[in-house]
Amino acid sequence: MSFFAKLGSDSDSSSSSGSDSEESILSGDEGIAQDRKLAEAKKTKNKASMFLRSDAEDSDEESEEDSDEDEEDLSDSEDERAARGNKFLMGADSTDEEEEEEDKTIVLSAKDKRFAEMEAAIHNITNATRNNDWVLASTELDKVFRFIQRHQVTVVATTVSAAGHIPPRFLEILVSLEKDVNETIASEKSAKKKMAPAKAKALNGLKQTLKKKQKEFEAVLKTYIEDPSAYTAAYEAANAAPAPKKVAKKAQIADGGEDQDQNEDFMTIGKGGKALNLTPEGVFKTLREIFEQRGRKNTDRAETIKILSKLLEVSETTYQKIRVLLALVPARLDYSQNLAHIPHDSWVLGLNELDQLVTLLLDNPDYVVQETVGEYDDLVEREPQVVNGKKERVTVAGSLISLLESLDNEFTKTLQHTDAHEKGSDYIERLRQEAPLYTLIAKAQSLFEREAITDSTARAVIRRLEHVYAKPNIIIEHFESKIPSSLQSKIVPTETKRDAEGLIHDLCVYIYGSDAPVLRARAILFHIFNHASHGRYHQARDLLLMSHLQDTIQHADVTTQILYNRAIMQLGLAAFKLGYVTECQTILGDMFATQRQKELLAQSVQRYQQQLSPEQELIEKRRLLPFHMHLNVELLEAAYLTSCMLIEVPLLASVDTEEQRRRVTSKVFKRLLDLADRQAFMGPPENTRDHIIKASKALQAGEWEKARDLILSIKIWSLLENVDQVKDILAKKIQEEGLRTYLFTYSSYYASLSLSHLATTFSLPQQTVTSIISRMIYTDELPASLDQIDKVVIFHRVDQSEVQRLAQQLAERTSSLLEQNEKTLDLKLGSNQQNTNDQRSGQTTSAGQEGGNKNERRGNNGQRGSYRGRGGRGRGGFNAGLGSTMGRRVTAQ
Amino acid sequence: MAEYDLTQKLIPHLDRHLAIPLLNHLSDIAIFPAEQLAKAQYDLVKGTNMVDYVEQLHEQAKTGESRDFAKLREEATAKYQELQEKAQPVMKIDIDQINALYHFGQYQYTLGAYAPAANFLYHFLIFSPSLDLNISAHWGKLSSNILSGEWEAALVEIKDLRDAIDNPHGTSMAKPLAQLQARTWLLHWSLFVFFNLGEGQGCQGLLDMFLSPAYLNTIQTSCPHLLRYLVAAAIISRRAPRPAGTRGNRDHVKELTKIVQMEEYQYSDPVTGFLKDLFVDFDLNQAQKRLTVAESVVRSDFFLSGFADEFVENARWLISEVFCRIHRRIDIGELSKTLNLTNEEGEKWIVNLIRDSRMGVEAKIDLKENMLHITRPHATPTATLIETTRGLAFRSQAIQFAMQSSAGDSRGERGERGERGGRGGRGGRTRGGAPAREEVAA
Repeated sequence: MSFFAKLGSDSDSSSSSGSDSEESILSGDEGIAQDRKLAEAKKTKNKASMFLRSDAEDSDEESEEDSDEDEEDLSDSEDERAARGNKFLMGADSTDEEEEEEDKTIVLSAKDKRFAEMEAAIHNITNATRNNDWVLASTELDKVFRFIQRHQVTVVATTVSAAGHIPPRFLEILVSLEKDVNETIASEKSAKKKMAPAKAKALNGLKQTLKKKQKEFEAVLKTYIEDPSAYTAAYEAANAAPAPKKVAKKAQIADGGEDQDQNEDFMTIGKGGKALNLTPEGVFKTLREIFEQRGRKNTDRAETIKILSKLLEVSETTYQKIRVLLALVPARLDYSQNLAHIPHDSWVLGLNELDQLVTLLLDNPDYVVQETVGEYDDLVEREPQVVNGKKERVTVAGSLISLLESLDNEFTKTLQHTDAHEKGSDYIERLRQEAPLYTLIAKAQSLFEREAITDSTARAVIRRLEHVYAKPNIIIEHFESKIPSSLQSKIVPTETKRDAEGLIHDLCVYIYGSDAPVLRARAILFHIFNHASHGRYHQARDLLLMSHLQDTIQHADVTTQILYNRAIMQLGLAAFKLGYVTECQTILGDMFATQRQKELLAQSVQRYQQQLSPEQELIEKRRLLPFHMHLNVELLEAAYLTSCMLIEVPLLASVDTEEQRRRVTSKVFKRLLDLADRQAFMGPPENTRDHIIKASKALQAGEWEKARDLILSIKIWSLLENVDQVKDILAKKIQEEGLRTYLFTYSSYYASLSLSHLATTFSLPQQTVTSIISRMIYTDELPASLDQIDKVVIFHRVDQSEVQRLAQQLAERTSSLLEQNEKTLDLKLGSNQQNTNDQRSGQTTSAGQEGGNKNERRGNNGQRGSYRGRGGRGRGGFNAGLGSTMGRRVTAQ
Repeated sequence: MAEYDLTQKLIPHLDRHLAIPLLNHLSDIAIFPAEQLAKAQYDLVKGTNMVDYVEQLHEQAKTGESRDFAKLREEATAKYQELQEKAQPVMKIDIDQINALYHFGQYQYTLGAYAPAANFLYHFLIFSPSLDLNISAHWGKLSSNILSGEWEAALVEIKDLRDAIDNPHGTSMAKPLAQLQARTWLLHWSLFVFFNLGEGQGCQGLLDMFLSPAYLNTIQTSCPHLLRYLVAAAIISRRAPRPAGTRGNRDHVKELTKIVQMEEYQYSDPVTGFLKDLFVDFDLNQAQKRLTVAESVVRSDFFLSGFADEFVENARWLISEVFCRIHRRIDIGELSKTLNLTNEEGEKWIVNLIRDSRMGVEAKIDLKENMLHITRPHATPTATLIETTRGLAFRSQAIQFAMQSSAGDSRGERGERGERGGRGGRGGRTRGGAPAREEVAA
C-alpha cells in the first residue's frame, strides 16, 4: 500500500494545490475516484488485477483512498488513527498539519486534480475553437461533460449548497463555445470553401450536444448569464464552507439513492458509509450494508475485506467481534472466486481470524454460533441475559464448520497450485501453515463437542483425520504438541497421553459411532491407510474385510474411491514389507492391470483415447492430491513386479504347455517378460523394471544369486522404513523360489537329486530344502518322493507324448463340459418343476388367466435362458476358443 | 502351562455359573496359585444366590470382608417363596404371570437349582410372546441344561438359539454388534455341550457349527482363541466314523490350516502351531516337538482334557500320513522317533497303519534294513485318461433322458429349446469324439 501511495504522491508533488476544503469534498472525491476505477476496470475487463495495477493514476487513487480513510478515522476516533497512522503516513496527506509539515509530498486531492483536468480540457477547447479544430473540441467537450456529471452527483451528496454545484468555468465554456459554434456555422454557410467532412460532422455534433446540455443546465445557465461574476462568487462561497456535521452527510448519502445505479453502489460501500460506521456503534449498520451488497456484480471484494478488518479493530464487545469475524472470514474466502486460489498471505490472515473467532467462542461459553437460530434484530447489540435465574445464551447465525471446511479446502488448493518441484521452498512455506490449521481444527472440534453439534463434530474430526492419516508419527506428534493442553475434548482427552496411533484410533472410533455413512467409510479408509503405512498389515486387512467396503466402493463418490485406492495400495505395500508376496500381488494386481495408477490415485491427470473436455479436466485437476500426499508409484510398482516375479517364475516353470502358460495371473508381468524375451540383446538394467525383469530371467535360468543381487540393488527400496528387513526377506524368498524353479525346470532331466547338493547349491539349510520339497510333493506340484535313508529326492516324472497330452486335455475338457451340462440341466429342471407347481395351483383360476401366466412364464424363461447363455459364453470364452483350435489340431493328426 | 491357559479369555464370554466349573477345574490341575484361585472363585460366586457355596468359598478365600450369611440366606429364601407364590397359579394366564415364570426360573438358576430352572424356563418359552425375554430365557435354559448335564437338551437349545441369532426378528439382536456378541457367547457356551457329547457327534457338530461362515467370521473377529478347540476337534474327529451325508474330513484340516495361518498374528498356541508345522512348513521334527507340548496343553484344558489320548493318537496319524505320502523309503527308527514312540511301539504302529491301509499306498516293512518301503502306484497316461473319461457316456445319456422327459412335459411351449438342443448336439459330437481319442491314445 505504502509503496503505491508513495508512487502516487511523487507524481503529484509538482502540482500541489491548496487543500483548504479537504474535509468537505472528501466523500465526493471518493466517489469520483471509485467511479473512475470502475470505469477503467470495465474497460480492461480485468477485475482481478484491479487492485494490483500500478499505473500512476490508479495508484494515486489508492493513496487518496488511504488518506481519506485516515482522515475519517481521525475524526471518528482519534486513538484508532494514532495507532495506525504510521502505516499510511508515507504517502498520505493524512491531516492538514502533517501536509504542511512535509510539503515535499503534498498530494492533490482528487477533486483538485479533477478540476485541473477540467481546466486543461477547457483550455484545449478554447485553443481548438481558435484553430477551427472541431474534432478535438468535440472530444474535449465530452470529457468536460463527463466530469461535470460526476461532479454533480458527488457534490449533491455533500452539503454544498445548490449555488456551489456547477463550477462557473464550465458554464463559461458552454456559453463561449456556443457562441463560437454559431459563428462558425454562420461563416461556414457563407464560405466558399467547404469544411472537411469530419470537421463538419464534429461541428454539427457539437452543436447538438450543446443544445441538449443547455437544456439540462438551463436554470443555472440563466443565473450565470445574468450575472457571471455574482455566480462565481456564490459558487466559491458555497464551496469554501466548512465541512458539515457527519449526521447531515449521512442523511445525504441516503438521498444519494436517487443517483445513478452505479453510483449508488459506491455510496454504500464507499468512503461515506465507512466513514460513518467505523465506530463501535456503527458496526452492525455497516455489516448490514456489506451483507446487502455482497454477491453483487460490482462489489469490490478487496474493499469489503478492508472495511471489515477495520471494523474488527473498532468493535469492542464480544458479540460485535463475533459478528464481524463471521463476515470477514467468508469475505476473505470469497475473494478467490476468479483466482485459482486465494493469495497465501490472505489465507494466513483468514486462518488467524477464524482462529480468533473460535478462541473467542471457546472463551465465552455464553455465545454460540449456530446454523439455525431464532429471529433477532441484527442491528442491536446483544448480551447474555438472565431469564428466570438461567442465563440465556446469545445465538448468532453462522456456520463455523463450513468456514472451517472452505478454509481447509483453500489450503489444499494453494498446495495444488504450487509446483513442489520448481517452487519447493514456496511449497514448504505453505505446508508449514498446516500445523496452525490443524490446531484450529482441533479447537473447532472441541468447540463443537461442547456445543454438542454432532454433525459438525464429525466433520471436524474427519478434517482432522485428513491432516494426520498419511503422516509419519513424528509429524503427528509435532502437530499434537501445538494444541493447547487446556482444550477440552471427550473424543481425544488432552489429559491422557497417547501416541499417534492412539489418536487416529480415537478419532476414527468416534466417526464409527456417528451416523454419516460417507464419513464412516472415509474414517475406515483413513484407519486402514494409517495401519498399513505403519506396517500393521493384519489390522488393516481385518478392518478392510470387516468393513465390506470392497462391495460398495463402486457406488461411492470419487473422493472416497480415490481414498480407497490409496488405502489399498498402502495395504499392498504393507504386505510386501512383511514378505507376504502373494497377498501383495493380489492386492496390487488390480491397480497395475489398469495402467492408470497415477490417475486412479489422483496424482496426475492423464489422457487416453478419449479427449477430456476442459471442464472435465478442471474437475479432475481439482481432485488431485497435493504433492506431499502422493504415494510413490514407482515403489509400488517395484513391490508389485517383485512379488510377481517370486510367484510367476516358478509357476511358469511348473507348467509345460503353452495353454497353461496363458493362465498366468499377472498379465503385466507376463507382457514385460515376453517383451524381454523378444529382445535380441538386453543391455544392463537401467530402471527398476529392467532390474526386475533381468532378475526374473536369471531366476528362470537357476541363477538365484544373480537374481538376488539384481533385486537388492534396486535403489528405490531405500524408501521403505525397514529396508534391511525387507531385503533379508526378499533374499530368502529368492533362494526358495529359485530352488522351486530349479526343481520344476530340471526335474525331468534327473532321476534323483541329493538333498545336500540342493542345500549347498541354494545355500539353504537342509531342513528347509526338505520342507520345501515335501510341500511340493504333498500338494502334487512335483511328482517325486523322498528317500529318507539315502537323503535324496526321487522323481517319478512320466513323460507324456504329445498325443497323450492332447488326449488328456480333451478328456478333461469333455468332463468339464459334461459337468456344465448337468448343472444347466439341474437349473432348468428345477425351474420347470416350479413352473408345473405354479400351473397346478393356477388351474383353479380361469383359462384366460392361465394363458397369461404361461406367456409370462415363457417370457421369463426365455430371458433367463438367454442370459445364462450369454453368461456361459462369456465364461467359457476362453475354453471355447481353445476347444476349436484343439478340434482342428486333432483332425490334422 | 499357565501361559497356554485360556480360562481368562473364555470367562468374559460365559455366564457366571458356567465359569464355576472352569475355575474348579483349574484348582484341580493346580497350575495357578491356590489363594488366587480361591479369591477368584469367591469373587465369581459372590454375585449369585448360592449362599452355602459362597459361605464355603468365603472361608477358603479368607478375605477380610465379612458378610452376614444368615441374613443373606433369609433374604434369599423369602424371595424364593415370593416368586414361587407368584408362579404357582399358572392356570390363569396373563402376561405378568408368564413373566413370573421367567423370574422364578431365573431366580432358581441363581440359587444353583439348575434342573428346576430349566423346567420353568421351558414352560415359559411355550407361553411367552416376548421376543427379547424369550432369547434371554433360551440362554438361561441352555445354561441350566449345561449345568445340570442334559447335553441332548442343550444341543437342541443351541440350535434354537442359533436360529434366533441368525434370523433376528427382535430389535435387540438385529444390530451387527449385538449379533456378533451373541454369536461369540453361543460359541463359548456350546463348547460345554459339544465336548460332552462325545467324540463322534460332539466334534462333528462343533466343526459344522464353528466352520459355518458366519461363526468362522465371529471366531476370527472376536475370539481367535477358540481356534484351539476347532483344531483339536478337527484332529480328534479325523478318524471317527463319519455320519452319513457330511463332507470329508480332509477339507476341515486344509481349511483350518489356512485359517490358522491367517490368524497367526493374533493367536497361536501349541495346538494350532502343530497344524501349521505339519501342513505349512512340513517340518516333521518341529511338529513332533510341538505335539508333546500340545499334549500337555490338551490334558490341562478344561474342555479337551477328556480327549487327550484321542488327540495324540490322531495327531500321530496325521504325521505318519504326511510322512508316508512324501517319502519312499523311511527309516523305522526315525519315524518312531518322530511319532514319539519306541522302536518296537513304532513298528507296531506302522503295522497297524498298513493294516488299516487308509493311506492309499502300499507299504512293506523291511526288517533287515529296518525300513519301510512305500510304493505308490503311478498312473500311466492311459490309465489317467481312462479314469477321466469314465462314466462320461453314461452321464451324458442320463442328461439326455432327463431332457427328453422334461421336453415331453412341456412340448411345444418354447422355441428356444430347439436352439439349445442344437448346441447340445454340438456338444454331443465332441463327446462322441472322446472315445475315438482314446483309441488313438491306446
